[in-house]
Amino acid sequence: MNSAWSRRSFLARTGLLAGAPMIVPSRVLGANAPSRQIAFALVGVGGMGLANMDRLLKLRDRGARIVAVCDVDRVHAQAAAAMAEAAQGERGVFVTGDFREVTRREGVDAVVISTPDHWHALPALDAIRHGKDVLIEKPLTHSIEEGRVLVAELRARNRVGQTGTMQRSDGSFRYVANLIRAGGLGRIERIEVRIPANNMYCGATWSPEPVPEGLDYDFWLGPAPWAPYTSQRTHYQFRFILDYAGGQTTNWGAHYIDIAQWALGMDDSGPVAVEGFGEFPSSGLFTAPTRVDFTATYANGVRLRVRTRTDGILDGNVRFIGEQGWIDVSRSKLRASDDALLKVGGGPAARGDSGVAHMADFLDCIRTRARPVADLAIGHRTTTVCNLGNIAMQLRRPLQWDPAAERFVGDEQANRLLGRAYRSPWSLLA
Amino acid sequence: MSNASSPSRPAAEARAESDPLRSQSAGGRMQEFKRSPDPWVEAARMKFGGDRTLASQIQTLMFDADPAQYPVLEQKLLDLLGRPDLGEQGRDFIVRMLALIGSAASVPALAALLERPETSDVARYALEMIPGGEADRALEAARAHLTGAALEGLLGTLRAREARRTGVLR
Repeated sequence: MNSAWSRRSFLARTGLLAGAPMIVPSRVLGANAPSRQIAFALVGVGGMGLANMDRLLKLRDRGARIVAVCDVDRVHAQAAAAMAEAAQGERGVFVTGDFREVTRREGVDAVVISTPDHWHALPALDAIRHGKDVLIEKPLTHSIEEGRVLVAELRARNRVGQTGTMQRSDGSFRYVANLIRAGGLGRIERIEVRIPANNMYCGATWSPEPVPEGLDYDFWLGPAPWAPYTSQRTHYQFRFILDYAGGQTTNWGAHYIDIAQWALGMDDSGPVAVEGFGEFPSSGLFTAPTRVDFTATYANGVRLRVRTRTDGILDGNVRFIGEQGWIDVSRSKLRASDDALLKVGGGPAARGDSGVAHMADFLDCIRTRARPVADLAIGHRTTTVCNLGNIAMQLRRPLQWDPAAERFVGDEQANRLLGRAYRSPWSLLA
Repeated sequence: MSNASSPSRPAAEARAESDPLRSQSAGGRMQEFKRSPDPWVEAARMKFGGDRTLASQIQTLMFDADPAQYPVLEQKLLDLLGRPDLGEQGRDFIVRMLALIGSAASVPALAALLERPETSDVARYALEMIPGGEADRALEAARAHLTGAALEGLLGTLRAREARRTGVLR
């Protein structure tokens, strides 16, 4: 472990291995050689960050190597670095709380960003501007404007960018998307998406608390408005606070709306209208909707309705209803109005670990410079639909959306919700 | 129609000893029953962690209002910004509402907040979203006053406004 944070004492506590420093500049090994190691840095190593680290460690035999870890929670960062070093059998993983020390670091090829949503865009942009490829967890960005800037920068710098919507790398979801695109249900009439209800709760009031030792809370807030620390604000629960995320609309919507966008051939576009009537907490720390219900309408007339499910299952599903039947897919089930719809071309491929497959796709694309299966532009368009839903539910009036201009038509207030000013010193645009 | 006479209103003396309004006049009693907080004032006084129910109702007003109603709502928000009991959370809430409906009329009050490093961020939360030359000029003028992180934030806001006019966010 190589860190400004109590490195020696932590090594002493954990008894980690001594050995040669592990960072080998990948360019000396041949640009596209399968044996060439790809040096990864991880920004954000809480729950999702550790899942992504595990995926990378499973790809060691394909050349993935973790060389740096960043988290504003020092406990998370040091624990993750120790896990990576133990798994890789060598010391030298660089540890920091400042993402710029990895996004600008020599010897890092790619950066995996698994921070809270309000911290997706900035480290990704810094990485891209410093010649790195990026994988960014879903939802791609916190705001629609952030997504637009991110995609423009990715293209201008010719970098590889994968969105963490790993259902794109799952056999069943791919089968359904391909079936719909091939006309297997005839003309699609409507799409029904269900997403889980909130799985965390809070009361009507809360109290500021002391910031825990090891958490750089000001850095955690980053571009979001200042607010005092309270334990329910940060790890995991951040997703229920609109200053940092979009609730289950963007958390699960990013997965299931993504399949609808894919199947409709809307990866580079989106709906033309949106309307919704959700419910939002009127008090308390959480501000994201507790009940989601919005409908996005595409130019061809297809209506996509997204609703909160009420059965307590922590998964979503997407059902396509066409003139020749319906098909419904989730992570655990694939059903259709007619079994024949499940056997077209031999049926879906066997389900494996889609998370690892998704990371492997990113790894391959780093080598080949091809666009990954969930290129950032695709993730941006999916996240846009999620954010349109949240905006429509807040404004409670029908909105017209221009997917080419990426602006609302004739609603200035709605357009003011496409982005936000950042807390200093952070800036979206360089 | 019944021959029965209407039940007579109980005399004040008939009220229970435990009735805290027992000694009130009829008018005073009605005033007590009609007592209501002013949601605008309560929103301005709001503290971090406190009940934000009334502020949420004001936010709903902002979302639901016809644009023709914005000037009245905007003035009510600006009045709150001048209250001596305005709290940090209340000010944060008010500028967020101005970000939704604010116009050139809000610029002088926000420009005053922009000049002070401790409030420049919250001023930008609204000013960045208010279209027009008045907001542009206020932001440009603040370049001369701000330094360090506050200046960096200001430059970010100027870049964002430019990008919305002519750049990647147009």
